[in-house]
Parts: sequence; structure tokens; C-alpha cells
Amino acid sequence: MKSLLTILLTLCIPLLTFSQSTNGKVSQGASIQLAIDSAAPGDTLFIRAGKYLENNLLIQKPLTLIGLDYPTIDADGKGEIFIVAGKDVTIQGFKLINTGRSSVEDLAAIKGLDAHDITIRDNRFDNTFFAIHLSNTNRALIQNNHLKAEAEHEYQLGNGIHLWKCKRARILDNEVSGHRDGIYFEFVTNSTIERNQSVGNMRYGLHFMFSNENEYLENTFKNNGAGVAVMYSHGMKMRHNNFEDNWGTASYGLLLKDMRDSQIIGNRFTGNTIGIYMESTSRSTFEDNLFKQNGWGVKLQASCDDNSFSKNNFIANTFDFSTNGSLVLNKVNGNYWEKYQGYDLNKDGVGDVPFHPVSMFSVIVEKVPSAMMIYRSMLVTMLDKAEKVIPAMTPENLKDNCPSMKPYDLYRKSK
Amino acid sequence: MKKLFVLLAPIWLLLACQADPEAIYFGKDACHHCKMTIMDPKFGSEIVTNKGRVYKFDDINCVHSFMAESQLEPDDIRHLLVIDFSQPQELINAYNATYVLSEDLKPPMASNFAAFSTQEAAKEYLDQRSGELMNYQRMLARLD
Repeated sequence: MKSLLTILLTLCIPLLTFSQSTNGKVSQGASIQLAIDSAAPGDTLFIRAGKYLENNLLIQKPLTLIGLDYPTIDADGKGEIFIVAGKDVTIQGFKLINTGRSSVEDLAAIKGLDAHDITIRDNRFDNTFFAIHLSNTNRALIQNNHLKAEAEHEYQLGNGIHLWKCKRARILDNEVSGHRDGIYFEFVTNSTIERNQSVGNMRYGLHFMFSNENEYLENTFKNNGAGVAVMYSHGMKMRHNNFEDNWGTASYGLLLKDMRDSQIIGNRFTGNTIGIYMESTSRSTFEDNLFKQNGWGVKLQASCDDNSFSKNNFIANTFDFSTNGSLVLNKVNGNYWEKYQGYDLNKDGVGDVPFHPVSMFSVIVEKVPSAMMIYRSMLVTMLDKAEKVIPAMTPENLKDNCPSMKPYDLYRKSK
Repeated sequence: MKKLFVLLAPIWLLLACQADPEAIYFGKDACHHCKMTIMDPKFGSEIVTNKGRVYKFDDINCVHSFMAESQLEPDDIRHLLVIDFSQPQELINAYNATYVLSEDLKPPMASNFAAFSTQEAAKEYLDQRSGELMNYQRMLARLD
């Protein structure tokens, strides 16, 4: 009996020494998967700096993994890095590089499946297909990560942060560049996206599909194929974001398609081909936004109704406003238009004659895009003046009855 | 003679314009209906009218919505093409294709449809996954 006990004890010694001597720490040369497997639920594992050639690390229990001085996990172009299929997992302080690429599977550096309450913080992603890919995951926190990708062909790129069927996610202070969509939401509700930088992504900086009741605040979308696309969604709040330099033939600062009951407040649209392009959008509020130096400030398709534009500043855009129909079911009232040439006799700060923001030439360009070639010719200037006196082509009802004489001080308001 | 040829060449070139299909440039072309840039080379569709106008789409349900909204008659359509799921970027005749409806597909506009040039290829895909096999007509009926 005694000998049996001794044998058992000796068998236990390596196990005990593993957990004691390393104190939950993993050093270069050791296996992270082994450490994950032998950890108890709720444990914290510290991974020391170094390079680890591992992939498809499976986590199925509550666990905190913390990298000390950014240990690098290199998947060497094969498969994924972390696959989380359990609740309460934290992954912090890693450098994750070189995931596999596939045309059939969405391979990711961190893949979450039913990974409720996952925290992904302070990580760096480089040369990954998808960086973070979560599905059926509630209350995820993705904070302060740097995501970067490169590829020869566009279709070899995945999305930076990709959420599918998730609820109550928080995405804060991340930097995403070089992906297909910087941040992609499909069937995601009640989530917040705050203070992120989405720069130089192939398609969209941020993309919502069938995702309702989300908000995004104080983000910057720069140099993307197009800044943000919101499609087939309702109840969205978009406040104080920067849409900059989204430039190209089919490029937009903000693309709205089949969206309703939303707020677009206090955003800055500068240097985009089209500031906002909207189609089939209804019952939404556009307030306190700045449209500066865009090709088109707002391109409103006739399929939109019941939207209201007020207190926006339109400055130095080639075309402030354009539409493709004569029926106008939207309210445009009390904005500042730099092109306004009216007067204010009673000095109440509101122009005495209405302003028609749709210029005749924008109507022509809408029908014949190549007519853009003769823009800024004398003929066009004359036609535009004639149209102002006797409107024939522009929708007569699309007018601002109370145009502001001075630009609104939007900067102070956002502080 | 040479002069005549130079004069006639542009006219001949104009006559040579035909209603031919055009490749989809992934990452550059935008879907005519939903305005999204076409990115996924496993999905996509194209309509070529008799007049030679080409419309490109990222997913089969965009084609369907576009046809319902536009004044395009079936007689105006010279070619209706879809991307073959098993041969990315390859356009095939939509009427003869076999369609798979599956939750696993994840096409850009969530139609959950993919097209295959042959029934065998479609069946092979379904070997490892759950889903339904159907022809063009039944696929259309599902989208309605």
C-alpha cells in the first residue's frame, strides 16, 4: 500500500513542479497549447517574450492569457492562432502573425465561437487573413489592438474585426489598416464602436449589414475604398466621426442603403468624392455635420423620404447637394451654405430668400456623368445663373427656407 | 485606298461592338444594386443587355431585386451569368447552373445561394455540409 502511494506521489511530482516552478509562466521553447490544457479554469497564464511557432491553439475554459513584452505567435501560414470556444477568456499583449489564407474558410488570428465575455486587449496583428473573427458571441470587448494586413490581390484579404450574430460588443481604441473591411458587422445588435482609426482598407472602413441599434462615435475613417457603409439596418447612432479622403470613382464617406430611424450628428466629412450617398433611407436626422471640400456633399436618391437636414455647414464642395428625381420628400432647413448669395435685411442671422442647394449642372451630371468635362466652363456658369432665375430642371421644392448667414460653430459644440 | 481604309476603320470598329460579357474586376467593380464593391470571387453575377450594357452584381438576390425594380424585360437580356462557386471568377450561364442553398456559404448579401456549373460539383460541396440543391427556376421562387 505504502509503495503504491509513493509511486502515485512520484507521478504527481512532475505535475506539481510544472505548475509551481513555472508559476503559470510559459517560456520560449515550451508549448502554449500544453500550458492551456493543463491550466485549471480561471487560471492566468503568463507567456514570456520570444517566438512561438504554434497554430490552432484551442481554449475551451475560462482563462486569462497575458503576453509579457509581446511574445510572437507565428502560425507560419497554416490555419488559425487562437480558437476560443468557451466563456470568459482574456487574450492580452501578444503579437500574432502569419495566419493561413483560404477561399473557403474564414481563417483568423483569434477566432471566437460562442465565446461570451471574451476580452481581446493590447494585441498586435500582422499579416493575418482575418484578424479577429467572432460569431455568436455576446459582450465581447476588443480594445487597443493594432491590426495590419497586406496582400497582392484584394480577395486575399479578410476583415480586420469581423462580428457575426453578436450582441453588446464594445470595440474601442483600435487601429485597423490594410484589410478588406476594417470593421465588419453582420447581424450584430446593441454594440458600440468608439475612438477607432480605420485607415487604408480595401473596401470599407466600417461596414454594417443587417445590424440594428448600434452606435459609433469619435472614429476616424481615412483613405478607405469607402469610409462607412450602413446597409439594411435601423436605429443607428453615428456621432462625431471623421470621414476623410475617401476618394475614388465609387467612393463615399458614408454610404447609406436601406437604413431608417437613425441619427447622423456632429460628423466631419472632408475631402471625399461623395460625403454621404443615400438610397432608400428614411426617418433619419442629419444635424451639426460639416461637409467640406467634397466632390458632392450629399447625394440623395429619390428613394429616400422623411429625412431632415438642419444646422449643417456646407463649405467648398463642388456640389453641395444632388438628387435624381423631382419629387422631394425630405426636409432641408436652417443649414449654412457657403454658396448662398442672399441677404439678411432684418439682421436675424437668417437669409431672407430661400436657397436652392441643387445646382442645375448637378442634375445634368446625374444623367450624363461624362458631362463633368465641361464643368467650370463659361456656358455652364451662365446656364446655372439662368436656372436660378427660372428653375426648369432642378427640383423646385428642394430648398432651404431659413439658410443661416454664418457657419455654425460645430467645433465648440462637439467639445 | 489606304485613305479609305483609315476613314472606314473607326466605323468598322463601332460595328464590331457586340453585347459580350465582361469579366468582373474584384475589388474594383461595384454591385449595381447594393453599391458594395464586389470582393468575394466565389459569388457574383452579370447581366448583359441586347444593347450591350453590362450590369454587375455581388450576389444573386441583388440581381433579383434589380430585375424587379428596373424596367428591364426578359427579352432585353442577352446574357445572364453567375460566378461558378467551384471555379472562382469564372462566369457561367445562370439558367443552366445548379444552385446550392446553405447557411455555411455566407455570400456578401446573405442570400445563402451559390452557383455551380455541374450538378456533381454542387453535390460534392454538399457532401461535407448541409444544404439544398435546386435549379434556376426553383432558386428564383425561393428569392421571391
